[in-house]
Amino acid sequence: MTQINEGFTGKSAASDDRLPPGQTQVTQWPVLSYGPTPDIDKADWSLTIDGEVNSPITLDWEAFNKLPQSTLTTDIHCVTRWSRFGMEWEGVLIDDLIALAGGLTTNAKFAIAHSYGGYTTNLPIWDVQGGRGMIATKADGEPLTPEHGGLARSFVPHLYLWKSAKWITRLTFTASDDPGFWEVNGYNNYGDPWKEERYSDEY
Amino acid sequence: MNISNNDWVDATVDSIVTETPTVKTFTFKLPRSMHNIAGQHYELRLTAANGYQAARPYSASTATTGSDLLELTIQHVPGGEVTSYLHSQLKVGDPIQVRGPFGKFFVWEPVMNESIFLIAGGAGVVPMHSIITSHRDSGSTAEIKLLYSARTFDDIIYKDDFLTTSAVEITLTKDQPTDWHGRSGRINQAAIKEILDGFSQTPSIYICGMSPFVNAVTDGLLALGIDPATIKTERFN
Repeated sequence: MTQINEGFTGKSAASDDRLPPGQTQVTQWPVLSYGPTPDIDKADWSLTIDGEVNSPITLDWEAFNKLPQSTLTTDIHCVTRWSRFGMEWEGVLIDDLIALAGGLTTNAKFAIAHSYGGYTTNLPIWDVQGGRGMIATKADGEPLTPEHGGLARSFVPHLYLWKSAKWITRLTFTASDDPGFWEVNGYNNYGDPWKEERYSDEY
Repeated sequence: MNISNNDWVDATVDSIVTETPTVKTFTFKLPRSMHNIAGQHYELRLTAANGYQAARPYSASTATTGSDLLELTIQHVPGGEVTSYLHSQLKVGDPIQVRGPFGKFFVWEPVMNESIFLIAGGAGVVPMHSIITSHRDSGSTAEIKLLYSARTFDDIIYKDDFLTTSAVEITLTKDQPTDWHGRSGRINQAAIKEILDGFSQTPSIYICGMSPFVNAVTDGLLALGIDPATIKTERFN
């Protein structure tokens, strides 16, 4: 039986079904990243889809923006315990990029996102397919600023936000899992906010 | 008995020290010994009478090897549901839940030999204190320097320690006492360069503070041609 902190009431007396356990709703948009924010010029930007796909592709900024654009209106959840409700994200569905790359091979089990600056994060392929993941370039109608991952970031909103890689430049499909930056630095390998999969057991 | 760092443990408040008008250091007594390296964080959880719980991450003020006392230095966030309670209502002897440690990136261990340059703004100095004291206590010979930006003299956290530690340089951005011998004004490229030039080898750089502070400092470093791969940042909002 957990002891009560006398006099503590907290902000939300009633539970909110929209808020995953242990999260607090915010209205601002905090910035968190582990290193300097890279400054990426549109002329230098590219996105490669490779690994266990039938025909790997590399797109420049212009080609990428000619692809069909999709929107996802959703809530976002950061492992540092804030959630922000009802943002509209715009970009290209990873389903569409996989199709453009000739589809996945039968070996494909994981997707590894690689970013400018060296960040990586790993996801099972289920989590980036079926409309669950996109490469986003806009949020709430505005181009993503560099500190929020612009020019483009991967966006997989049903998982904690570190699984959505800012400044993505390559999405590699693999047969075996390859834990990414935070996954080897003490955070959970999967990151489901509804199960509170925040940290690994190793430290 | 094997307890995971993910398991909440029932702790009690052992002492509360006021560092500045908005910052306090809380010492918690735990039912087991704790082991954390410098820079790691813990989570605190409060429980209301109706069962509502709120948890937040906080950096440990020191590295801990086997003590059952854990120190967290926490800044009051205006309107913050957890820090408001911690600062105004929590008292010695009260129960609180703790788990950790967490994080393996923004950390320092005595086995690391390379030079280290720490740059902190405001409460961003908490993990740096952990690194500075761990470095000192371990007898490390690695070169180390902390450049710490505080608003005023009264806002300096860990004042007694830092004002007598040669590895620490403090800059006061808002106003300075008449007998102030430290630096003045916001951290700029010239100050960063001056300290960088004092290192005998290129240091690893750790930056912690509010996002605008971290952005300004990293921009300054990148403009000086510093390799981004040598810079670790930790931001709070």
